Amino acid sequence: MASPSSRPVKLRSAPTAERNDRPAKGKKVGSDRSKASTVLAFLLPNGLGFLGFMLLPLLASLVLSFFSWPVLGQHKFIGLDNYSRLFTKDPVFFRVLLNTLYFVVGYVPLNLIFAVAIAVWLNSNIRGGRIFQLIFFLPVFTPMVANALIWRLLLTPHGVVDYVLSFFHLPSPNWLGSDRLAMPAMILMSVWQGFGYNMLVFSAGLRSIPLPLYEAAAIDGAKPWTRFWKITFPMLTPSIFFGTVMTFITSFQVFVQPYVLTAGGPGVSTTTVVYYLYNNGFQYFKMGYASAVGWVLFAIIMVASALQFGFQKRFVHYEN
Amino acid sequence: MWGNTDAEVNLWKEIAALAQKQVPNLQINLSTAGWNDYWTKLMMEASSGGMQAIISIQSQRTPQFASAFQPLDPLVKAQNFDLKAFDSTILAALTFDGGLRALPYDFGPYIIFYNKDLFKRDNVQEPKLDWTYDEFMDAAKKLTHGNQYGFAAFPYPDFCFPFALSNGATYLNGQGEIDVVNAAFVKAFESYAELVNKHRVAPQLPATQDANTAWSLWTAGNAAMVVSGPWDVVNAKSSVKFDFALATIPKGSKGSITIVGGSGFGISSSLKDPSLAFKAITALTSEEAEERLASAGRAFPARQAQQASWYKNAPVGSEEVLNRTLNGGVVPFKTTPNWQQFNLLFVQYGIPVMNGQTPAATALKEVQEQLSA
Repeated sequence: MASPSSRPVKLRSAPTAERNDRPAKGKKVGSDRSKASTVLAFLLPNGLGFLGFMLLPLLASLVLSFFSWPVLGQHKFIGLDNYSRLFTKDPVFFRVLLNTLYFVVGYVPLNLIFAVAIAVWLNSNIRGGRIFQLIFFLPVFTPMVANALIWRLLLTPHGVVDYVLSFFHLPSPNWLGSDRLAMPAMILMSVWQGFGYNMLVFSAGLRSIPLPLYEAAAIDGAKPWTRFWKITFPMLTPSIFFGTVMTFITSFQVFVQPYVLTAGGPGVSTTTVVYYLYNNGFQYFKMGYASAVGWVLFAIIMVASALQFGFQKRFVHYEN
Repeated sequence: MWGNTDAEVNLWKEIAALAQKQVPNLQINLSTAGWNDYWTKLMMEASSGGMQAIISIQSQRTPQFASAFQPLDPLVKAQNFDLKAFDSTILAALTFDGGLRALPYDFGPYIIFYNKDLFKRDNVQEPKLDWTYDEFMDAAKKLTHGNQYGFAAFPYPDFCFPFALSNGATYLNGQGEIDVVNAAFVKAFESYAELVNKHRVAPQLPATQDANTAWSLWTAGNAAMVVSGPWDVVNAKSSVKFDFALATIPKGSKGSITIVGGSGFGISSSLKDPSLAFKAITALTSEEAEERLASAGRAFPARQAQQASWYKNAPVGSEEVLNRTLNGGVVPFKTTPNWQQFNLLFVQYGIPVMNGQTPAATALKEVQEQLSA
């Protein structure tokens, strides 16, 4: 468990590479070739893994996306047909994109608001802050499948939520069976599961804000609310930027929640892009089509991330 | 072969040893996987050409995998093998594109399982052999109160097709392709969904692909009736705390008609000389082997003569119910190569219909559209 350290921790969107100025033991100082081979030796294990398990499959899936590739049967090169089918003939792909967008737009802000609010609250020297921090972080390191299963049991008809609501004579909707409520239920579960990680990142960010800033503001008569917006929030923006980018990317890739909680249903109301990809690849065994879905998602995430990095200049405040 | 428990795997080892004695000049090695993994493994092996010589297959999946299996008809003829000892509907269910793909070891029609204790407690008359849909509905209504339901419904093709067929609706067109938008089928599915959204004799459903949803409600004693097949009798006996029995599918406008599925052994299409492998699969489905599977409760034997030993361990009255069903109205469970996709879509879109949120016609139209996209 990551316990809050007393040292201020500085978070950056990208870690700066440390330059190793000291020569390696037993090597001649200044020999570029031996330096290069040392660097290569250190990079090799990771590089091989990246090549074997990331780059090659990635390229293979790009190739597959130009084929009609049933697992059993004839493979045929069809050019851009998979892509044009996705956007012109597929009756649900747009709906699937919208569902994913719905999830992202619902989940990311809620996650960030919760994470900032609770991090600020826990940082205000309340009693048992560390215990609360642990409790809020618990769902992050329990397996997602287990979490989703528990929520399934809670929300299912005649489940715990149903029981509690009917005890107070309140109407209990069929959360996971209703096309209007299934997605909100999924977002709720995901926020509960996911905000602890950002909370921890923000807590660390909060501790790195110099106290004299607050003291000076207090002397000038700034109220807590003003102090939050004028000091805490701007100083926290580098952490928030990191949190936003990472949460955006993972939420575009949401899979386990629809897989365990709703199986993409009812109807197509909680089918997300990755769940649709999984169904096409591993249920309908259309590997080419599934690969095309994957590359469309890749493009979307790339554009979304690029936009965020564009906004970074305007909204993120770096102290130095 | 698939096998989920040690007991199951051990039984198959026993059957393999039995078959080994019949074909001494062939070495039989048994390889098993869990039910879900089995199909993924088979798909991967089939695509890479690394299939075993002898493969087990379920009738519903025969069209999907047909190209990986040799048609057995030439071998049946050459070795003068007698197919008449097997039930004819399961042979038909294992046939695709004019060729028999496997010799069956078990089969079964979908029928009703009911909780005798709940019927007794609520003073409801137990199902008669020829009961009608009205009588079924009447019983279901009487058995529904509080958290208890008369029936556990779920939009899995296997569970609701018997009700559709009994009312004269079909799910395949003349070319053997899926057609769930024909008026008769839409109407039949609508009336099945009304069990939940109108008559409320079955509970609302969460969105799920878990086909065990209905069965779990029944085994927990929360629903009095459920649809399943004879293969579940052994599971029910070991897991439920109440007395249960079997009943026929209630009669609709066309009588009591249900679907028959089952499993068997086939031969890989890549095998050059299949005559020895054919000897082996006849041994795996021999009288002795099916007798053993029946007495262990694992399988309702596809060989009619061996069915008696299965009845010995079944609930009282099972023989009459199964005989009436098999001699009354059964059709082979015919499927298509894209059945797995259809199955997933049917469940996914069927649930909001059951819950009364989407009209059956709209949902089935979307299923049909996605199949042809």
